[in-house]
Amino acid sequence: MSQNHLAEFEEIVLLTVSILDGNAYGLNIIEEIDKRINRRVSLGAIQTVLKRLEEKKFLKSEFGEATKIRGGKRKRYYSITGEGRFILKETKEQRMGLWEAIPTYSLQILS
Amino acid sequence: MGSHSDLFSTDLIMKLQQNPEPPALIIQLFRWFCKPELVEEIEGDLVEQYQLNHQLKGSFKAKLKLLKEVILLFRPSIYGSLQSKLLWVFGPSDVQRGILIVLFMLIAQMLLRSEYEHYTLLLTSLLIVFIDIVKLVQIRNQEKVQGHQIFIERKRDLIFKIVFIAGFLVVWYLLYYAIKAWL
Repeated sequence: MSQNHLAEFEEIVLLTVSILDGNAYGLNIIEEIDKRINRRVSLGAIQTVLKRLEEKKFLKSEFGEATKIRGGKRKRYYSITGEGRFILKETKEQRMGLWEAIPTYSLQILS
Repeated sequence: MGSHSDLFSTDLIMKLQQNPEPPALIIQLFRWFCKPELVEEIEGDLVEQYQLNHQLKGSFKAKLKLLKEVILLFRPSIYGSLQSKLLWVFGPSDVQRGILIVLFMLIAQMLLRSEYEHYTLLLTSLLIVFIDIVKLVQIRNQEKVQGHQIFIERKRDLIFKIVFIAGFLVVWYLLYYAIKAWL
């Protein structure tokens, strides 16, 4: 996948991190995706995408607090960067452009 | 915002304070293959998920789900370089056996992701045995020069692999259908 484009799952994760607004960590992102779009994903899948988005500079992260529930391990909180917001906006515009380009009769068939 | 208080009820949070320990062996397996810089973050998520499942679904299902998550974490972005880990565990002379175990973990992961990939397990098993038979034949041809010892060792290794693969196949299919029925 190109550096300047988002894959479908990357877009979902980036949007979910934005929704969680500063409270996004691995397990929380999984729960949010499940709750919002009814899609159960594994920790492995989430971690891979989070690291990829961080490499692309669309996300940044920092360690949070250690809790007893996590066996004393710290959470890593993710947040969206300016570049991440830009790519989301661009992706949305591209999608909207494609939707608007569909002939009206095709949409009637789709619905 | 999806904070803990939104996701889990107060009762559940109180129960989680009891902190049941996840199985040490599964956590050790995860720590072995995971890149050191990722261990803290992912292990925390695994432990938190285990404790939540422990309260919601019971100990046995929580352990199975933990094992499944650890197997699904076995991917290049998480394990980094496998070569050094295999050398650390098996020593330079026995890396082949280590590769076999890694290969089976990858196949197990593939099977957990999809129900339509059963044939890959059989095909890969046959391929491993075939490669070893070819090597055995090569060594037998060199036997006249090098003596019998290497051939005997290789044959023993091949028999071990065939027994291992057959045993793995039987145990895997039994476990797979038991887990499917249970979950």
